[in-house]
Order: sequence, then structure tokens, then C-alpha cells
Amino acid sequence: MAKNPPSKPPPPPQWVIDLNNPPRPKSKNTSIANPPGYIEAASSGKRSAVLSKTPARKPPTTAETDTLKLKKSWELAIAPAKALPMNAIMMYMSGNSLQIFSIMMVFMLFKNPIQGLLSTNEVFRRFETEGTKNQLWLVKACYVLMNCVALALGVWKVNGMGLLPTTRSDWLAWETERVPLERAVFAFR
Amino acid sequence: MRLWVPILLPSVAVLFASIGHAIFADEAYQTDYHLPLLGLPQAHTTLFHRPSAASKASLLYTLSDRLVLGAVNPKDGAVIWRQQLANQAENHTASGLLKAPEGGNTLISAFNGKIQTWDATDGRLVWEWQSRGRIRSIETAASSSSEDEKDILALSHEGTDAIIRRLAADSGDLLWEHVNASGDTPYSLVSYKDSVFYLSLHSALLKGFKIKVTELDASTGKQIGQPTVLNSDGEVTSEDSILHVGANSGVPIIIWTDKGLKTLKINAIGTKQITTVNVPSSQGDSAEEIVVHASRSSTALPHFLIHYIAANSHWGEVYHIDAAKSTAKKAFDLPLLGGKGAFSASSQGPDVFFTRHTAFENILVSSAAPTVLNSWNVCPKSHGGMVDPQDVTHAASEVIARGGSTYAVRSALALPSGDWELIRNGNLSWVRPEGLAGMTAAAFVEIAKQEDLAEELAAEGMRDPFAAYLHRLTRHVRDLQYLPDWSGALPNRLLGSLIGDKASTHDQSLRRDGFGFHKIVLIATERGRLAALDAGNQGKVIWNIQAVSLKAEETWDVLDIEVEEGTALIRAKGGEFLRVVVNTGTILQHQPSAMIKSLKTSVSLLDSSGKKVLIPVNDNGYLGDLPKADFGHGTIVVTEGEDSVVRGWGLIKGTKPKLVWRFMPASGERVESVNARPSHDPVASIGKALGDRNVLYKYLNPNLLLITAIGVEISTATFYILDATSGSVIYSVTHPGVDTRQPIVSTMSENWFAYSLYSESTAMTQDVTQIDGQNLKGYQLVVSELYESPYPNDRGSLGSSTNFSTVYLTAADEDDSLTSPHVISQTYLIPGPISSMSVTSTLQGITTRSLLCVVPDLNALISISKAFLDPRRPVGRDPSASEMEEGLFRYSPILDFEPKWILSHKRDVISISNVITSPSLLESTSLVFAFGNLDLFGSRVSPIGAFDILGKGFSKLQLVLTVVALAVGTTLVAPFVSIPGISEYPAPDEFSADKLAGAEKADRWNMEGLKLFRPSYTCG
Repeated sequence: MAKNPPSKPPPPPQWVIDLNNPPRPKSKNTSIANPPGYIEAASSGKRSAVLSKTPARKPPTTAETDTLKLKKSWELAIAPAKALPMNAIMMYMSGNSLQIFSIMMVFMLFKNPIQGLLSTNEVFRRFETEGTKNQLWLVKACYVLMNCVALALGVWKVNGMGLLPTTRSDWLAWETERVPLERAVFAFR
Repeated sequence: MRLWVPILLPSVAVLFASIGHAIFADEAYQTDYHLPLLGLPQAHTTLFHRPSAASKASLLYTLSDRLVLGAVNPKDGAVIWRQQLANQAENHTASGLLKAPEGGNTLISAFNGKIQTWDATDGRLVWEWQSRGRIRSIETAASSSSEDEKDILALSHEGTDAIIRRLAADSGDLLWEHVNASGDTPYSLVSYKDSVFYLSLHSALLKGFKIKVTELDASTGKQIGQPTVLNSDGEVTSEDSILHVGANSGVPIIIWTDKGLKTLKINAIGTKQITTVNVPSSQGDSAEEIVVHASRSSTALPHFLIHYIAANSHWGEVYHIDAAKSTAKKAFDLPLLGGKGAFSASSQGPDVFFTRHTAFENILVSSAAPTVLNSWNVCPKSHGGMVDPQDVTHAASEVIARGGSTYAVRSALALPSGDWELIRNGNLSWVRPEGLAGMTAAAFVEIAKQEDLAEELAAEGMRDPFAAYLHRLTRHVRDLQYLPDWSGALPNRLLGSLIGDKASTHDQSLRRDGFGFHKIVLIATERGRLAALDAGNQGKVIWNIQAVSLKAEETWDVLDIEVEEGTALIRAKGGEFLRVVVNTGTILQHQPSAMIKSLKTSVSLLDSSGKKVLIPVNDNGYLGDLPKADFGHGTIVVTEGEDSVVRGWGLIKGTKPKLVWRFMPASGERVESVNARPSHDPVASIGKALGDRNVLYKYLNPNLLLITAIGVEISTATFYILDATSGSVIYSVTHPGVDTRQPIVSTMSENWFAYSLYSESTAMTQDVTQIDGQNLKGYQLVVSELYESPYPNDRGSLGSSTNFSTVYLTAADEDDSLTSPHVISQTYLIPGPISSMSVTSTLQGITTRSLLCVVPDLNALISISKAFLDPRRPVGRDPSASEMEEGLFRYSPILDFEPKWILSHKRDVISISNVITSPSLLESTSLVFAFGNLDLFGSRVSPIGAFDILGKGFSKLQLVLTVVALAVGTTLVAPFVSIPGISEYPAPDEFSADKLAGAEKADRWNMEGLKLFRPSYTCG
């Protein structure tokens, strides 16, 4: 999933080194008995032995990688839909009032699908091979559809907040008063 | 701006919880101004008097021509208390009587048949007593029960009888009464020692009156001996011939004169001896009026002064009374001086002083000798650039001898301009513009622009570049002259704005301000005076002129003040008009009332070429001949005739206007008032956005008329809404059981109208009486709104057409029901009558309007937000969610005037009859000016809070200090929070920006929305 590693890795930070080289376990103190059920030392050695014993895996064939890639790309295409229920619940919970929090959430709700739509080809470029090319358009269409569904959720939310100019009062400002053709001058007082 | 209206309004309403507040505590006395006037002080009822025996300082008391009894602090001219003796000051003819017994705590006033005593310190009513006839005279007599209180003797004329009564000082109980049924005209009472002299005018056989003096025992009221008849029938032809009656100077005397002012007769009351004095003619001037001045004190020496007033000069003579021989003898003369002056008498102990007031000096003389004790040069100063000295109409003064030959004199002078001023040892202490009482019209006027930058810039644009550059250079050099002043004032301004001390930065100059609060209020009074007040500067009088000269008893009926750029056109009855410069009060043009008596006024209107044309209107509601002009299509002039008919006149080419329609109310009713929408009545939104975001369209027609018709006999009040161009009645409602003597007032604005009346029932279509199961009886305030249609999103029968005509109906709206608006009304019970109603006006009409009502019971001006009066408030149920969003709340039939609505807060605003409004440059705020028979009051009102200006509670200092403290705090704390060494470590490539972005992107799909809670980076 990650990009190809760069050619020359920089020296890792200290904590990475520390993490990879855990402190040497203390020399076993024989005076303290192991807890019951704990089998010491031999098992770890045995396990590494078992792992090292397994034969080197056969490199996968092109068809296999293609299937794998397609599977992965489908997963990616469906991803926006997976987030939908959570988003829907969040939107429902945040209410329809105009507040900074709900406005930010709605903004994110629109930003992500639109960004996703714009980068559709980029997202699937990694899976694009000769073999998958013909099947990938369906995946892309599904991805676009899913993003559209997410967008629709945003539109629903915005409508709920009353920000869509769908009612008469939204267009009231453009309606003008009728001009009377006659005029009356008042001469009383 | 229009776009935001539907959003702005509810949010503003929600944001500002202060919606019901008329004025904030820190704005009171800052933004509002009030001139508590008394009316013109009268000569015989203006006096300096100690409010109680214990008090050292005396107050200035007066009973004015408007029957207002008031106490004024002589130090600063502030009114300490006021009382109106008559409620309807308009219909009084008789003047009031005032007595201030020496050493007492009370003042006694009498008007018509009512005697009232007032606490002299705080003006509270002690008791009042009502007689059946008019009180002719009041006098005081030493009380038997208490030392310092004095009983009251009253002479009333009841039928043909004259009744003399003695009322107890403390309670007003009747002690005795004496009925004199001789049929003489009662004139006066004089109390002297243990007797009461009753003076009456007995008709002589041929002509004239004999003065009859009847002596009564003061303690029992029994007549003593036979009445003395003085042979005055040669001189006394009416009550005016008697100049003076009184026991003030120790000995009771009566002085009368003949009709030609040739001789004076002086009689010590109780004797038959008459001293005759020939009226001197000094240097050829003959007296036109004679006034007698005597000290009020009974312990003072019996000296009095006779003041002769000639056309252009005045002089005086001082007389001494010989108590033993009961004769008067001339002591000395006070020489003739030019101009009209005034004398006043005052006493300290036994000494009597006469103070002479002329336009130039004050002269103090003792009554004993002709030597001038002291004199001060004065020039009574007046407002309005009237630098030339004025005559003094009358004066009251107080002299205090400070041992030796030093005297302190203070005099309250009444000037012909109506100003009342106090002069202390020749120095002006204060001036009260009492002449402003009795205002008939007022208008807000913009201050004329002094320098028009736009004009200057336009001039530059017209020239060639070099000339324009020179022009600008000279303009900037010219502007430099203001620099020293401006930079000098800068520190103060900065400091003032930081600390919030607005008083020091108060703009005294007559210049427009950025908020549009600085305007001029022009007022016209019934005495022909015209004045300008500075609304932005506590209502200071800028100028005050006698615009027209009137004869006595004549009033100036100003109908309308029309404002043009820099000038104002004042139109009075009879076609009279006057054009004045607003800033200075210079009269540019004056056309006296026309010869044609029936001419009422004239209206100006623009013809089709944009020229102003005057159309004469007669008293009977007919138009005069039209000038030659093309008025274009469909111009209707609406007039109200004296015959209770409202007429609409069509102006068609030619000289004769054509009567287009006539409106007569139902039989038994007469037209009480006619209202139109205010001239400045902008409508921000043509519909009302409902809670569910639908629109209820307003019925907007600039030609609407609201006619109030009342039926006095049938006790009804009917309100008609007319379309003024076609004359058709659009809506009408009749209230039965109306008390037509109570004020019935109405107003109209935008798409709604409101009225107030006293009724025993309700006539509304939505029958609120059923809800509470009781009748709405009392003062009612009814608010009605007009809509195009009862259904939301429906613009009525005209649909989306951009213009309309009510005269030429299209086939679609022939059916009358289609064109008539949908009216929603609601009735509220209010605690008291409303005597005047008007509506706030703001620049764009976005702000919810407020109803400004004068409540005479409270002596207050209140502002009721329209939000409280919405007729769409749900009745009998709680509002639904969408109604709540609209700001509607449950209807309750009783609308109490909440104290926080009172615009005039603690001020006692009396006799207000009119309220005018004007928009300021701030949309939230409307300027208000209330005026009437007596007081004037001005303020600013923000119906839904001042949402576009920082309040006084906003402290700039606090803001600046907070920012500074934060900055200092951040700098100080910064070293503590920085971790040493972290910045030196070079960023590894794996953690470079694009690497992280890639990782983030990969993650996002799974961690959507929870990015913030992501535990750590995944490292590759």
C-alpha cells in the first residue's frame, strides 16, 4: 500500500533504533521460579527455528497479483461507503443549528468526497496493469458512486440546516414591491 | 442588504435579549433631553418665598399662564416640582390665584372652583376643596389653632350669592361661611387683623360701580356694622379699573383709577376717606398702564410704588401711608427712563425695597428715601442671537441686606420673548425658555453641510490635471488650519475613547456626526415663535425667534414644516408660509396669510417634469385653481373638509381639479382623524418569512388611508382603510360601546395599523372574549396587519406583476374579494389611555418597528416593540416550534406597560401631544422628539437593541490591556515551554512532508473522521 521505499534511507531516529533493539533481557535469576505454565527459552528458539525452516515462498504469478490488486482496489472503492454510517450518525448528532463545530463537520463532509472524486485516477493508478485495466473502470465507477453517496449525505445535512435555497423565503429578497400606477398626495393635517 | 433580512431579523431578535428595553441605565440623561417647562410666569403669581419657616434659602414659585404651579431653584433654574392645576390646559380662560403665606409651609392655589394647598417643599397636595362657583379671591388669616399655619378665606361666586368661607389651614375643613345675597358682584377679600373685608362692586344707578366694603369678624364670620360704600361710580367701570387691593403693606388699601387713567383714588379699607392723586404726565408721555407694587409682607412698612408705563418710557412714584390718619402721601419720584421697565417690591423685616429693571440696568432703592442704594449694569442675554436689549415684562426680586450698604439682589425677569431669566447682582444666572411652551408643530432637520467634499472632488474632476492638482493643493493647505485644533484635541479624544469618558468629547459644534444623531429640531409655538434645538447636544436651544407677530389672544396654527436642503418651509393656516435658514434662523421669505379667508393651506407636489407645484387647499376640503402644469397620469390629492367628508381630487390638465371620490362615514359618525403612512416608511422585506420558511406576503400600498370615525351618540368608533386613489374601502371595523370622550388615536405604517380606544366590548373577528370567558372592558390597543393572502407563498390575485392600479382594474381582479387584503387583528387590554401614537422610523426599515405611545396617566412616553403586538401570536395554546422560531409567543389579552419600556424613564413628561421620529444613520436607532402644550422631550430609541454600535459597557481599555497582557505573557512563558534540542534534530526523510501525506492518505479511508484521534504514525 505504501509507496516504494526511497533508494537511500536516512539514519532512523534514536527511538526507532531503541525500539528495534530492545534492551537485553536481564540474566536469568535462577533463584526465582518461573510462573506456572511458562515455558522458558527453548520455545523461542524453537519458534525461530520453525520459521526459518519454512521454505521460501514462490513469487506470485501475474494473474495472481492482478486478482489481488483488483481485490484491493474494490476494497478501496467501497471505503467511502464504509464511512457513511458513521458520518450519518455524526451529522445526526451534531444537530441542525449553525455552530462552528457543525459547520466544520459539514465542510469536511463535502471536502473529502470532492477530493476523492478529483483524484479518482490517481488512487487507482497503482492497481492499473495490463490485466486489470479492463475491469478497473467498474471499480472506478463504484468509487465515484460511493463518493457521490457521501456527497448526497452532505447535501442532506445542509438541507437539514436550512442552507439550501429551496423555499420561497430564500428568494424573497429578489422580489420587489409593486409600483402603484397612481399616486396620492395627502393634504390634511 | 435585502438578502440578509430574513436571516438577520430572527437572529437579531434572539441575540438581543434587550428587545424590550427602551433605554439603558447608563444612557439615561445622556442620550435623552427634556425641557420641563412651566409656561409664561404671571406677574402676580411669581414670587420668591421660603418653603418653610425653618428654611434659609427661598425658592422661586410661579403659577404660569398654562396653570402650572412650579417651584424653581433660583440657583440653577431647575424645576424642583410642578403641578398642573387644570388637566385640559387648552380650554382655560380664567387665570389662577396663588397665595404664599409668610412663614407657612404651604402654598394655596385656586382655579375655577377648586382650592388646593401644596407643600411648598416637595409640591405634594395637602388638601383640596371644591366650591360650587368660581373662586374670586383667596386670603389668609392667622389661625387660632397653630402659630405658623394660616387659615384660608375664600370668596366664591355661586349663582347670585357671594359666599365667604373660612377653611382650616391643616385640613381644609369649613370653619364658617357667610352668604352675602346682596346681588353685588363679588370682587375681593382683604384680611386685616381680626377682620375680613369683603369688597364687592355695587352697580350705580346710572353707570359705573360703587365699591362696597363689608366687614366681617374673622373668627365667626358675622357681619360687623353696615357696609361702607365708596363713591367710585365716576371712575370704576369694570373690574379692571381697580389697580390694587391688599393689606400687604400693613394697612389695607384699595387703589382704583378711571378709564382714561387721569386720576388715582386711594382708600384705606374700612374708612370712607379717599385720597385723590392726579396721574402725572412725565415729559409729555402719558401713562398707558398703571401697576401698583407693594410688599407681600404684612410686617413691612406701609409703602407702595405706583408704576406708570407709557408707550416708550416708564417712571414711578413711591407713596407712604399714614396708618394713623389713613391717608397716603407721595414720598418721592423715580425718574422717567426710556423703554419699558419693570419694578418689583420686596421686603426684609420692616424695610421695603423697590428694584427697577430696565434693559440696561438694575437699580435698587429703599422705600424710605430716593437715594439709589445700588445699581448694576445688565444686559439680559437671550438665545438666538437677539443681542439687542429687550424690555422686561415683569419681575420678581429678593433683596438681602448684608449689613452696611451692601445688598444682594436677585431678580427673575420675564421677557417679551417668553424667556425667564434670573439676574443676580447684575449677572445672568440662568435662562429658562418658557416661551417654547405651546408647541404646535415640529420637524427634524438635517444640519446643513458646511463643506461639501464631494463637490470639491467633482470640481477637481472637471479640470485639467494641472489645475486640479493646484486645486487639491490649495484645499489641503486650507485644511491645514484645522490641524492645530485637531492635533490638540487628539490626546483628549484618544484618552476619552479609551477610558470611555464621553462627556469630555461632547461635540458642541453644529456639524453632522457619523451616526446621524446630530440633527436640528425645528419647533413652532402657538405664540408665533420659532426655535431650533440641537438634538445631538441635549436639546440646547440654537436660536429662538419671534417668527410672526401676533395680536393678543391670537394663535399661530402651523400645519406643517417641510424640510429642504438647508432651509425649512413652515406652512401655517390661511396659506401663510415662512422660509427660514435652519442653522441660523434667518427668515428668507415670509408670505402672510392670504386675503382669501377660506384658504387653509397648500400642498406641494412634483409635476411630471420634476418641478415643485403648490396646490391651494380650502377649508371646506375643495382645491383652489390649479397652476398650469402637467401632473402626469393619476395624481390624486386627498383633502379632509370641515364637513367631515374626505375627498379625493384628480389632477387632470386644466385649472379645475375633478372630484374623483368622496368618503362619508356611516350616519351618526364623524371623521375624527385621517392618517396616511409616514413619508419615510421604507419596507425592507415585502413578505414575512414564517418559521417553516414560507412567505406571507404583506399588503403594501403607499396610498393607504386610515380614517377614524366616531359616533358620539351611538358610542361607536369605526376604522376604515381606504385606497386613496380609487377611494374604495378596503377594510373597516366598528367597535360598539366606545367611550368617545376618551382619547381615540391611531397610526399606520408598512402593512399594519394600530389604534387605541376605551371600549366595553370587542369587535374583532377573532373572538378573544370566548377564551377568557369574560368581556374585554377597558382601554384597548388593537393591532391589525394586512396581507396579500391568507395563504403562504401566495402573492394575491396580482401574482408577480410589477405594478398595480386600483383605478383601472383588470378583468382578473374585477371580483372585489380578490383585491382586498387579508387582515389579522389582535386586541390587547392596556392599563391606561394612550393620547398619542406614532411609529419609529429607521433608515432602511429592517429594524422591527416600535410603537411610541404617550401615556398621560404616567406622564411618560413608552416604546412598545411590535414583537409584543404581533397579531399572529397563537391564541389559547403554546406556540409551535416554527412559530417559536418566528419569535411568536403565546397571546395574553392583558398587555402591561412594563417600566423598562418607558423611554422617558424617571422624567415627568407632561402635556405631550405629538411624537415625531426621524431615522439616524444607524439602522438600529431612530430619533424621537415629543412635544405638546408644555414639555418637550427628545431621545433615541433602538427597538431591537443597538446592534450596530458598541455600547457604553464596551471598554476599549480592557480590550487593549488584555491584548497587551497576552502578548507579554506569551513572551515571558515562551522560554519555559521550549524543549531544548528538539529543533536541532534533522528531520529524517521518512518523515518528510510528502511521505507523511502519503501515509495519511492511505490511512484516511479507514480512519475517516477520526483523524484527530489517530494514535501515532505508522512508520515504513
